[in-house]
Amino acid sequence: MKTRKYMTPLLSAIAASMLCANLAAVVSAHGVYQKFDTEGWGQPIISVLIQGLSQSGPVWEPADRNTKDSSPSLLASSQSSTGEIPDVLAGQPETAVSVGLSGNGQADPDAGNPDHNANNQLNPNANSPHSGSCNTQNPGSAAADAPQLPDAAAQSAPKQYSFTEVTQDYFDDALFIGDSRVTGVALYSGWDNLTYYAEGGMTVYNMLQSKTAQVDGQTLSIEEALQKRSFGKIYLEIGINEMGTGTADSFMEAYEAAVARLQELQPDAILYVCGIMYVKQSKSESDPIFNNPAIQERNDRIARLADGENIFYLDINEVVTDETGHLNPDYTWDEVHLLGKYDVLWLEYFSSHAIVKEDL
Amino acid sequence: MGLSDLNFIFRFLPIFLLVYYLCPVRYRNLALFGASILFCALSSPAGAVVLLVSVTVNYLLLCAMESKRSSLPWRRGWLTGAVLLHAGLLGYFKYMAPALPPGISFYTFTMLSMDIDVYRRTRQPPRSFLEHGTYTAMFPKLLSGPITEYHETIEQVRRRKVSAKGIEHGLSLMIAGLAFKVIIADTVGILWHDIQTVGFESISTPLAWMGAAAYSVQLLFDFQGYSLMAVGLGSMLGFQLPRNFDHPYRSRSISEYYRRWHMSLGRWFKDYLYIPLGGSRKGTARTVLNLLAVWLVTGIWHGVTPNFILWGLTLGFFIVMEKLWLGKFLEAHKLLSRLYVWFLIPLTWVVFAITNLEGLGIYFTRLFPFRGGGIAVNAMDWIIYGKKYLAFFLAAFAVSCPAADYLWKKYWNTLAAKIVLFALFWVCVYRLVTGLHNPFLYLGF
Repeated sequence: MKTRKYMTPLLSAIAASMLCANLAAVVSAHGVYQKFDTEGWGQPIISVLIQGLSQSGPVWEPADRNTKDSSPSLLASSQSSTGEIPDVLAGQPETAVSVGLSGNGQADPDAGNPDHNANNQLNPNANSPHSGSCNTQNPGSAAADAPQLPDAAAQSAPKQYSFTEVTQDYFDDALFIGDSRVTGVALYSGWDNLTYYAEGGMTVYNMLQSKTAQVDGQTLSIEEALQKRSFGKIYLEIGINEMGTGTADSFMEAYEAAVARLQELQPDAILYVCGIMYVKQSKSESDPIFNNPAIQERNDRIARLADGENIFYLDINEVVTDETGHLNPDYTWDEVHLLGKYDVLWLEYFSSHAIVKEDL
Repeated sequence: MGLSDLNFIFRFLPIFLLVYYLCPVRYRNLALFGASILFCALSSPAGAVVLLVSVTVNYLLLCAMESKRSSLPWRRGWLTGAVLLHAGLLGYFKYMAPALPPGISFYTFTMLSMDIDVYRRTRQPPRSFLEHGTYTAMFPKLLSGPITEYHETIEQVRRRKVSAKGIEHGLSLMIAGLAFKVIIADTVGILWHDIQTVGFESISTPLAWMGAAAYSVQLLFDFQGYSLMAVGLGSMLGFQLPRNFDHPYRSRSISEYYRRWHMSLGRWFKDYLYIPLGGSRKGTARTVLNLLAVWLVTGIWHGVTPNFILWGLTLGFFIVMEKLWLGKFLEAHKLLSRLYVWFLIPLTWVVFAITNLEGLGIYFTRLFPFRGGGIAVNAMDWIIYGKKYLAFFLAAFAVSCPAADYLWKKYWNTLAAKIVLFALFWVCVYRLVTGLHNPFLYLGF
């Protein structure tokens, strides 16, 4: 069908649909999708509607289930994508995760220093309710780095273990779960005796449902896979993609739930929770969301999950930061991920910080 | 603000179109010029000042040149002044200033075309400042071309007709261009980004070749997408802007490739540099020199880091070879000539893409791993990336086929095509809102 001389059907349809979509956006921005109206005048109102639709389903369905996914995922769908957060969400007010210097970040010469992290673990607040859900067997202790914390180890109940050096075969029954930073390790560390369940853009909110596990030729979600296979050690490295979401509290709530579920599924596994790796200085100082003070705030909270018996905290920042306390600029191109040739640092670090229960 | 920004699509453009269509024809240039300055200012207020100043100064230079029309030395003097001024400004902003004013590489060439055409008396000078400004700064082509030549555009600035068909065709082109950019270029571009994140040392050789292909596809669809949007916008406003791309990967020689790639820049260099230098009319040696000169300048136009010079001279070298003897061979071998283009062009784009020579060297050792090399290489990584991007490479291939042209020409104005375009538009908007979106690559030049 050819259109007539004076008709502009495509223009009319686009104009009309834009008008309707804008009206719907205005209405929803004051109603169901109010929480997506974060940019004010910086973006057309249509982005509120589309954000809302994409993240919480249609208006007529409850929007709660997925609201936690409303993060500006650093790496939405690939190992690295552009490395920038979408402008749409930059400066999102609800993401006020300690944007300023919190005393743990670049202003602190100790940031990234092992002792500094050990001190954080000694924080008396470690017995806060947040650690309760995971530290079921040993709620009184927060010690992870036992060698540096003899008192903590002595005071606390059943058994405390200390880190030792191990060889590569230690990892034969190890699982490494995580986001794009772990996909890099899987591809370029050259260590293939570990199992990796990793995917770019993985968050603690979608982790267990993430279809990244290969078991007997099938692709399963991590939750399903852990019901079929058992591991002796589980390393969990996650958290950078969630930086823009909610607060450290809401992040930790989900993190603790995920850890509890992992323990439930694999009660015999040693669980290593990894601190979030820092970003490069230039990014940290210019990015309101993905910056090292905010990362450190969350790392402090992750470290408190350690109980010295079943859950241990590992902080890769001990080996990948330079003297400024930020991610070493020689180790990264996109300011967030390690270059392939440095991915092995993760596993070398794990080798020198391993728990061997049989020894004790 | 670029043509694929949500703010442009949902705010600037609808308001501008309303004003433009509703205002009387004689005020349309004023609306267009004003909107263009605003468009530039929304990207960079300082850039808008630079634009206004260069347009004003160029207008004054032209007036001065025309004040003694009969004196050739006088006109030649003013033209020399104009060329030096523009080259100086462009050189300063491109290579010394901290930030590049939006579109300066493109509108400077647009003005030079006007100055040279007026000097050559091929066309009358612009009748007013507004005419001069509209020709130079119209926002559809302000940021990245197509570079218009004065003699083919000025009549349209004076008189043009907005038609329903022109609007529909323009809008269809705009949506197709937006889809090229947002769906194909931005996605395939992630692969190139991934490769840099991994580090060139660690990629496998197949992945290195996929990377070269990815960057080539990204650059083509990014720039071709932008150009289609610009031409489409022009058509909606009643202009016929020159075509910038004509399926370069269908070429059978490097020279042909560059007659089909960024055609407006190639044409500009041909009309205003190669032919004035004597073109191919002054013997073989002079032709070779002229070609190399043009390609050296083309390289420098893109940037002064050594890789751009190397890129320009490499292309110049092959084009000279083709002119001297390789061309006849390629002419006679249909399949070989295509393989030659498909092999060589992505390699030249790698030279174009990697601005530091050390990184470039490493990349080439991964492309041609004859002496081993590589650190922490995973020989199978290309399978993982291949699976992720295969569909987009295939899509890029499909829309570049002659069949796609045929279908477009035959069916673009049918209801079915309009439904597809309408859906594509909203898919692009959805991706712009939710996805990770890169600015156009050619905004950097």
